[in-house]
Amino acid sequence: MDTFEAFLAERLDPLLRYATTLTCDPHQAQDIVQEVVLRAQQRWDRISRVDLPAAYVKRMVTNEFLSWRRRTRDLVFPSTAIAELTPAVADPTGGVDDREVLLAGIARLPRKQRAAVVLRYYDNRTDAEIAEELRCSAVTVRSHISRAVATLRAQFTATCAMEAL
Amino acid sequence: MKTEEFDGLLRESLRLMATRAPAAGAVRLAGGNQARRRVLIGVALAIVVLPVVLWVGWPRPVLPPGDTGPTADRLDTPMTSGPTWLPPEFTERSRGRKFDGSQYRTFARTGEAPDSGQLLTFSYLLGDPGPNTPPGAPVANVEVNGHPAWLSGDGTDVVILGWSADSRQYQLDAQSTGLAGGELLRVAESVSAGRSDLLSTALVPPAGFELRDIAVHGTTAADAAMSMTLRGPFTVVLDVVPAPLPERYGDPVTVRGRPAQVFSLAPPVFGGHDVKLFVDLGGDRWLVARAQDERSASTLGPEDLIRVAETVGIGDTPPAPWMGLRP
Repeated sequence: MDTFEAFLAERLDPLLRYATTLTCDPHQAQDIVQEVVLRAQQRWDRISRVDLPAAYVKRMVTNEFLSWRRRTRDLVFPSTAIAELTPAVADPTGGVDDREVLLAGIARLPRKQRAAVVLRYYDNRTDAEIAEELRCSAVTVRSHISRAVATLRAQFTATCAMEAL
Repeated sequence: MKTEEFDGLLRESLRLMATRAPAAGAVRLAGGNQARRRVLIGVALAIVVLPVVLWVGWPRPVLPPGDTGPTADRLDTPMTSGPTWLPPEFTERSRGRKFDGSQYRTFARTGEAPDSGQLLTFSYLLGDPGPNTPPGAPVANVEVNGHPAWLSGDGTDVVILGWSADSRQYQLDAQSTGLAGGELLRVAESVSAGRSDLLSTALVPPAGFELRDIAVHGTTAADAAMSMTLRGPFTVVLDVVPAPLPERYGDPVTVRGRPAQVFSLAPPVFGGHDVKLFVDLGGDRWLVARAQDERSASTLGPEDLIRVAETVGIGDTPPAPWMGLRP
């Protein structure tokens, strides 16, 4: 990969898609990728010399998603406040797409669980690869994924039961 | 639904989310000229400054704390309710007040990274708030010091305990803490309504904006930050944080007589506008402001957020000696 511009031409779209699945929020995804791209541009001389620059930059996106500053934002935005600040939008189809139900649940998962789920089910990574990305053990990865899937299944089942009434 | 079917649905859902990614054109690069200019300026500064530094020593910070922009007096809000017992290793991380008058305090295990999402949130509403009802079907009906209470949750990661007593509604929300319902009950039974704790801030909303949420948060007293959420023609979130931020590449502007950088992000997927502003307040404090307007016809621009940042009242961050400690 010679230039940063060439790298971006090939990798920016996948990075944005990855960030969007992590955040479940295109606004925040753009914000995260914007910050990472600017930092990567500044350090490109060094990044371009690592074995897998794309993986390196992708990890920068993961780290930015998990960073403490973004977590403190959550602290001042309790879930009820988010609901209050976000105007409800009527579903024009009058029905509920199963995928939307699941996405709503994914968006409420704790960040490390969400990252583990995205790396497994969107990025098809192994436990070991996810552990390396999240800097934890493979056992912790399995625990994150297991708890996340159990939570999502429970929410999904409950929503489907409500729909059936 | 079988496991394989659910896994397939999970994959499909994430692929659907990925299709909502912003277009690549929404991400900006620092311009080549800008980058080259930065290098040239750096070299020139090194040539000029290095001999001076070697001769007289490193200069003092360029931006000492100052009193530019509207200031604000310290505002103390009494927090009369709080737990007096917490599970081992839990310490207090934040205190806040929301638009509906409810107050909240969050707790996490000592040493737990703030990004872990493992939080115990205690919140309460004063006055006559009406019936305290669970968000979904309660998993158990219990009692807290003789008062009827409910336990709710998804069975795995989130457990919520709610009850009413002394004309107050109480709620304990444990997210990914691993705490069992019994431990939550013990925390709930320790809640005292006669405490004399304080939420201390020094922020005043500008005219035309309604205060939705004000909070102090951090890990220890040394890194306490003040925050507030405002609603007016658009939504604004303001943070006054104690640590310098990484270098950014927004458009340079001057706000409150201080150097600042502004980003204007225009997500093309949902429309609307999103502007971010960083102001160096001096004395190792930064104002981080973000404005969001989700209306597709929004005309929100950097000047709107700058106007808010120019007129918001900001005082010295009050000490938060309770942060990182047990009650």
